[in-house]
Amino acid sequence: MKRLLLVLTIFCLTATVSGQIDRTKKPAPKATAPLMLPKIQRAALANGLSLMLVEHHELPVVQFQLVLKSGSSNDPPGKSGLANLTAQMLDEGTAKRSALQIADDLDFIGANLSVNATEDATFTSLLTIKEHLASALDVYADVVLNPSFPEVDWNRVKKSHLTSLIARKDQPAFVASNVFGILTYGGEHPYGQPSGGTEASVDAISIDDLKNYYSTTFMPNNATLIVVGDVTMKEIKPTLEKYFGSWKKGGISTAKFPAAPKIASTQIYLVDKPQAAQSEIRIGHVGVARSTNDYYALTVMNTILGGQFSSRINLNLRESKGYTYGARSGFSMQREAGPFTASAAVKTGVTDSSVIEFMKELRGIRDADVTQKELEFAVNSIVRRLPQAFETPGQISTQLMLLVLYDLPDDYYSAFIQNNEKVTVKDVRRVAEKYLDPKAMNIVIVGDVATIKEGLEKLGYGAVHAVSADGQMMH
Amino acid sequence: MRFLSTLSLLLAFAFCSSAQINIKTERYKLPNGLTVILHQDKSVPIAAVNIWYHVGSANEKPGRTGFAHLFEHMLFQGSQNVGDDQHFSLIQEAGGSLNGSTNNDRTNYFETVPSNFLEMALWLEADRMGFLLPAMTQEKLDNQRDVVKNERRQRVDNQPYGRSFERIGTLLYEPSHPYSWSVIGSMDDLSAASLEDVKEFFRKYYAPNNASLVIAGDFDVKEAKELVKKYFSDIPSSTIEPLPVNQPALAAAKYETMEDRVQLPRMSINWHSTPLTSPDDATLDILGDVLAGGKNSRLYRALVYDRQIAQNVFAGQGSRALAGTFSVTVTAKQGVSLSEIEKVVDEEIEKLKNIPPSDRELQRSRNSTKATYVYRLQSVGGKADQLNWFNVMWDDPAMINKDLDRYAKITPADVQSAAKKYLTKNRVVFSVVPTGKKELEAKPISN
Repeated sequence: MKRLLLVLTIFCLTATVSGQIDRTKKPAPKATAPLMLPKIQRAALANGLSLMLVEHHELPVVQFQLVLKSGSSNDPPGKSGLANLTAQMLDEGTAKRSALQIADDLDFIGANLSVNATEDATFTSLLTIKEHLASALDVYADVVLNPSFPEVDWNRVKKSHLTSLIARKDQPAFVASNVFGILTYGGEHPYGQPSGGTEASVDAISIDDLKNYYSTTFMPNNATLIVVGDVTMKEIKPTLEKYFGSWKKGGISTAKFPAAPKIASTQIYLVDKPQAAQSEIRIGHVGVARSTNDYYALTVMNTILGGQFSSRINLNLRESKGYTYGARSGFSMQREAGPFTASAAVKTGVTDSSVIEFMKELRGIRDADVTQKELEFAVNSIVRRLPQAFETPGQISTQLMLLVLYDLPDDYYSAFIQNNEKVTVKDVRRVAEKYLDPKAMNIVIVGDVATIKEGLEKLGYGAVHAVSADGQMMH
Repeated sequence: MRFLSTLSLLLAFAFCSSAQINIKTERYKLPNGLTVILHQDKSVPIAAVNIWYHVGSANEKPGRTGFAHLFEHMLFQGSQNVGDDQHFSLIQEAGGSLNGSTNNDRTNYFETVPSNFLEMALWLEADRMGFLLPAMTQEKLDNQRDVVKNERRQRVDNQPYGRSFERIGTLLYEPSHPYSWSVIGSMDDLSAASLEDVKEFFRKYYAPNNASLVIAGDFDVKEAKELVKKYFSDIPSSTIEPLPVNQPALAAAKYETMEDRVQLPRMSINWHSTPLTSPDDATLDILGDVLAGGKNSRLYRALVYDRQIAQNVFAGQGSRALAGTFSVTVTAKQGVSLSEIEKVVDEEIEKLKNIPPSDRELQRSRNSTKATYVYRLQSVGGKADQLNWFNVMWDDPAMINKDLDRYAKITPADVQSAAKKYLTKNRVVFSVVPTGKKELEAKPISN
């Protein structure tokens, strides 16, 4: 009652002073409204398939996300692209449905199916209304359990994939990230292999490779099925037992992660794109795995450095200098240590100046404490964003997927705010010093070598190295 | 589980043919002409603020292409009571997300914030609607001009096929037509933009009577109305003439080829169609799906699945306020002649002109239209932008509940008629071929 009175009082004041309001003062926020986090239920089928469910019953819609904990990191040497192509082939034919039948069956009931593979996992998702749950699950389980890898479809998909690899070479942003990955992780580490493969590696992949990869990774004991929607555990578990119960568990082949090469000193690598209007820049090195105890400090640190529009890197290179449409940095924290990368596409004529500013920021966050104000800004920005991450079922299922992939506890989000608020100025400095090493970074630039090379060689990183668009050193 | 309810409500309504989408809105006007639309959705403690100004690149004057978009950038550079770069900072510190965008017909600005920051978001929007000019400086204009030129380099000049879109515009429209130039504009015109242009554009178009404000999400209606009144009611209106609908037609076919640093040839066939509020707009959307929506569509099957001479295909109606276009874009496999592609496209279109599509093809299209539409309405931000689209373009925010009806009414014969009426010989056929591979271009068939 007290609160209500207060609100009314404010309104009266507003009404009386209208016409001469004070616009110079930023309105203060009201008290933060509570966010109800979804309750996660867990179960498992007899064959070991883990289930996670978030229920809601107002209306009949169900979203499924099957997380298989194998991805392109499992690709054998010389056959990168295998996990990706296996995923592409799941809905290209099963024992009882052709590729076109699968598409037609789903389109007709308005259900959406998608399959994709990343380095750490393969995701198969389905969205359907409950009315068509049985028909939708029948197709969904069919593509996951019984893909037949028909030869004629494989030939078509392989040709199409090879063509897309050729077309990607036209995109400087793709080439820059790809070359950066290859140079930073070397020829052995899975994160150094493009997950879509190369023309040579895809060419080397056969149907038998797909079948072998499928039969050694697609197993219920390697997967978690996330369900968000209008079902209870009591009803969905037997239904899923019916459709997924015949899935056989077995031994899973695991990925191997050899050490990435050590970077002795910061060097510049150039991929030539004659007459390019911009230079695509990637700067960084191996970062850190998601399991790090420094996760929160690192997230706060990167938010200050280059994680959003208002970060130092973007305010400098875009808003102060006008070199770029946008500049950023980020840690790709995966099951193993993914890369730390600072990146931007900059006007050709300011390529060297942009590298100078990037390196200034990368050193700056190590060499001095961030201000208390910057820390508060970053923490506020991170924790207050939380409600927006739980707005749609797709978002909720994404949040659950992160728990599965990185073995996070079910109360992860309940502790999220508190864990971020614990981060101090000293923590930020410590993780910047520990996880950023401007003296040992790869600087990869795709641009017009004739214009940019001379300036880059004056930056103190020695002679630049010419690299092909496939990441091979050129001599 | 309260915070899931609205989304699921929408999904279920969309998929059940008997039921209707029911998004409740209230629309009213302030005395200065500002349209306000409120939609309450308390499922998550966030609120979306979305403003459309009815001004886009179509309103630009000669020699100032790209200006509407450059101006959009200037609105994030502070205003009388909001410091430089503070607009982004304040919303990001609040945990909000924000952006703006410009197209031919309109410019929008939007943010989604935790609901307790709603007043701050309204204060920010009002300050730049009413009090922008005191904060404008030559330095800020020069900086954002550089940023926008970089945006052009990134999206157009340094992108494979990037320059084709603006070339197609100049082939479709006479130079005097407001759709003949691109939204991003030319480098020369961006260089020419002056601080005086900023002032003139602001006074003319950034007035409350040319704007539509949506607040969607978790807020108290009475309080929101008070806040809107408090921050927006004393901003003066201006006089604005709406642009007339101007749907041109081509008198003959036009062919043009661009050589680009690309590996795969690509062709785009473009026809003049009909403005977005015309009844045929939805029919043409369905025609696009029948031609290229999903694996079972006509062109996908013919080009990508069966013959395997193309990498991908897109077809659809470009819905714009003053004039519409329908286009088919096909990326060919390496070395495939675009004349060969064009022949297959023409054959498939001819079949549709002779025999109407099946009921199943229409049903597939309606189902995917429903799904796409409803997914756009999952978030309060998506709903807010959609409400402004219906308000600004159709003068009826309640269209949000009726839009799918446009598709339900269409028959196979309607789709056939639309193919006959619009997909004629008079069209722009634009080829992009790898440098030095001119022989792969599409060429007019000599009679």
